[in-house]
Amino acid sequence: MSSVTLKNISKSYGSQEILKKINLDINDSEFLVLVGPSGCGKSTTLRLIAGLEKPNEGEIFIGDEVVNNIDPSKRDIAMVFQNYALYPQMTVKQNMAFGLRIRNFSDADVNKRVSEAAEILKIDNLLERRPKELSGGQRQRVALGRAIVRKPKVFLFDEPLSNLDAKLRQEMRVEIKRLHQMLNTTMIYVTHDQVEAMTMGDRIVVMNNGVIEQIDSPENTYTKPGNVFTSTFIGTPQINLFEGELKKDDNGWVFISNGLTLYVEDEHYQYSKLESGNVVFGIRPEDIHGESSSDFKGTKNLIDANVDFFEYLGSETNLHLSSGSNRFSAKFNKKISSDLSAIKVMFNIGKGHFFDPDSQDII
Amino acid sequence: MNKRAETILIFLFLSFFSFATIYPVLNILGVSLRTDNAFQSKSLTLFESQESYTDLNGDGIWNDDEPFIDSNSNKVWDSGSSFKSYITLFTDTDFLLWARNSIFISIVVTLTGVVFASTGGYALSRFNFKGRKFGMTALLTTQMFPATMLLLPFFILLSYLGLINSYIGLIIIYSSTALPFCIWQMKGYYDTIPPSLEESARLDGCTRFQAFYKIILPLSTPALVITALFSFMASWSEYVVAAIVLQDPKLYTLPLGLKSFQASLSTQWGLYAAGAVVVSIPVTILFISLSKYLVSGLTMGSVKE
Repeated sequence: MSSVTLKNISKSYGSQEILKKINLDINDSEFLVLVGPSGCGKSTTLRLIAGLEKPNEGEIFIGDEVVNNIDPSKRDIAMVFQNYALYPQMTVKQNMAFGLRIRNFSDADVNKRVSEAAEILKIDNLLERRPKELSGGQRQRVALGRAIVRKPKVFLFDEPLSNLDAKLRQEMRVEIKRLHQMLNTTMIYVTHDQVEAMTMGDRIVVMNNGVIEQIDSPENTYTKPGNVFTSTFIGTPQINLFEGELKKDDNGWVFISNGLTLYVEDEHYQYSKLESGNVVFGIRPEDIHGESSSDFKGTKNLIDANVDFFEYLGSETNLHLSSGSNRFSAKFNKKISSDLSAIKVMFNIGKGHFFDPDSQDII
Repeated sequence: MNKRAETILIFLFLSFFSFATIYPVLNILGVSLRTDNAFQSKSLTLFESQESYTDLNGDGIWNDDEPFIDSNSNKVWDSGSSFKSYITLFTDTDFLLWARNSIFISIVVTLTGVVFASTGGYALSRFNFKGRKFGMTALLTTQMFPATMLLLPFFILLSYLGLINSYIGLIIIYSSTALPFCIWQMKGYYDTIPPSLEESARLDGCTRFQAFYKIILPLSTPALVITALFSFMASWSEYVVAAIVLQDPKLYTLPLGLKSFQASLSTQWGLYAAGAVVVSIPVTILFISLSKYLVSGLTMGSVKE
């Protein structure tokens, strides 16, 4: 068990900057998820912690020790790779025992640890098989087993579930989370899948273009995004963004965008910080309600919209709407009749967010 | 075209090339089994003994104009067959000495090839260093020169180094000419092995070198076999370079030794053929026993799995 700290870490390949002075404190026994689009630097961050890459600048601490110049073999870290990286020439048992044998553990110790791990992961019946004789899910379990037998200080996961099908992915998600509760070891998990990030992480690090956009709990990244990027990256369907202008009239702040006029209630969490001028307003699809919803109330912020098309998902329906030149989506938890072409919706503006159009940060 | 006609056509095609391939080999085998110097004789009576003849000029072999007893009335002189040439080869010539020389040189070249190609190919596959691209192109360029063109430079180089008439000189040339292909071959194979395997091994506690020889090398057996076979063959059957480097008959390799049966006036065809058959046996055995690696080794590396 150990904390991990990154101080002013920069990494570039030639002229291409991958990481730009990032700072990150990962607490002891925390489950931290690095999430972001491909090329954002999340995997590079993980590889730097593992020691597979060296930073151009900055310091990496594991516990209190600077590990910049310590070989990966001496960092006492285990990593689970996207392609599992099992040794094809070895049986499952040999794969799991490899790290222990290299470290000169006694036969009795090796056998004990391997069978313990195999039992936890329910792969004790596969020990004599070779990786090619296993299914994707079984291989992933073996890869996890190989990591846990060593009882390392830190676990690293590099998109471990992206090669599995949807059902298996869900199962393994639970499994990894369960493992974390049981082992109570620091785990750093890289994914591009926001569902994995939201469901697994104690905290989420949202990355984009080599910088950290936001570090927060899953709930806060969703309900209190720090900037436009985070608000759009987390949540499906994506948050609706409107560019427009804030004005103050007798009734308070009004947001105007292409014929859309929305009144900001004075209990809005940003109310006191608002200023006249251009802003970007973001509101999540589930905060736009139809008349049938119990949240549909009041007479303010009612918009007549055309229904362009909708996606029926069983428990919910995503509506793609337009009003004037504005296009946006709404999420209803009811089925909508298929011949509906126009609808009156209410913007629950209290749940929306105002961003600065220049810095893209929350106001 | 219907299936049957197609099968027949393929069969005929393959039969023709099988015959074209096997005929010279059988011919050599035939010559090696004939007694004396009956190179021109077309018949080979496997179980009958040689028809007796009158040796008019006393040269110990039958000549076209010498009378013979045609015991099976086929109007040609039958030499019969025997392993005489083989026995002579092993007892009356330096064949065993040449074989020892050849085996020694080939094994050293093979080991050198495997060691340098496996490590050199790995470096080219996994590390990005200055001169990597240039080095790879340079290696490839050396393959474009025919061996005969390199003879003179080789000779000059070796005489400067005082390595004419020495195994070391020959080994250096054989290794250096076989290595470029072997390095490329190994590099191509390593490229198909995901780097995450070594990374995983390094996190498991291996040093870079341990990750290489404990994980990557065992996985590269097919490519290593090809490399070994190629290096072995390159030195086992090589004649031209050996002929300029080695002048002392005691140092001769097998191809040089065989050539020495061919004198300016007469050639001992029986011995020559017997020698050729014996020389090809180890290579044939190697090829057959390693053929499963050969096929997988040559195709793997071309396609990413």
